[in-house]
Amino acid sequence: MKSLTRSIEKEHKGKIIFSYKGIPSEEMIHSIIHLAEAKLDFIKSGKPLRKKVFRIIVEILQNILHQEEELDVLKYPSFIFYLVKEEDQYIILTCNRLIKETAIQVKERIKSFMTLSQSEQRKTYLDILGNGRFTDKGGAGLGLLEIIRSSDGNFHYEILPSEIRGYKILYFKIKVAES
Amino acid sequence: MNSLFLAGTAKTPSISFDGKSGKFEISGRSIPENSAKFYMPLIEWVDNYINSAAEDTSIHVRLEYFNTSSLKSLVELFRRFEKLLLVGKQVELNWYYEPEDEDMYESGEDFRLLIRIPVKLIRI
Repeated sequence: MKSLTRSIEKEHKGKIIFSYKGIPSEEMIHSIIHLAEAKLDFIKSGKPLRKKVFRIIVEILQNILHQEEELDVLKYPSFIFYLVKEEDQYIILTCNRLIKETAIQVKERIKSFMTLSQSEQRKTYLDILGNGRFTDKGGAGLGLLEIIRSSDGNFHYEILPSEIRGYKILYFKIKVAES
Repeated sequence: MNSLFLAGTAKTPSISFDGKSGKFEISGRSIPENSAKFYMPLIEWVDNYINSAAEDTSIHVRLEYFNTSSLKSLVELFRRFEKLLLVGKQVELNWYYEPEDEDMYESGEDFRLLIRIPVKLIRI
């Protein structure tokens, strides 16, 4: 994860408006959402763009929180988040460590959503929303599907190897511009 | 029938449920990590309301932000009101949106497809 962090910071040097490295606890995720919103308000982009970026940040961070597994978090910071402003677009970058089996499930779910057309994505979204179970953690991929739909195709993900056996790194890069 | 009032927080909306008048208002933002924890008590409250509901029930939703977890919970909540239609009572959902907020407008349209109670989309 360190090399990825270096790579992101080099690529977006001078354009990172908010970053966090550490543990994705519920309290910390809430604080990051709050601080990222303050940053968005300060920059004063158009309201629709700010709202779209904020919604994606909320979904992606809460999705990560739900994936979090027990780790030696002091030894292995398991989460990084960057918010980048480049010209008229925002870039949201996240990396989180997750167990290999969860990574495979997430990958399969994303792949299945990305093969769908826009109308099929909307139908799937409505199916999950209307028929999915009412659970503590949402689920059934609704948050992931919302992120993919909101990013208008500017959604990139990778499952990367982790230095810890049995784990993988989930990397998201989402570009959001005024529609 | 009692009323239910909850002040909004950074993550949860303001709630004003008036059991006597049948006016239900949800406003602010709804982005809790665990929406079921917040909405389940409201759903239980509505289940009780249904037994002695007003002749006309109106639901007013003015949300600034929401997450998908909250949307799932709102579907569950609004579906509880469908029982009123079966006993000949009136109920409608008023979904408010700002003109430039396409996502909020689309979510209102989604509810038209997901629930049986009439949904009015109201531009603020």
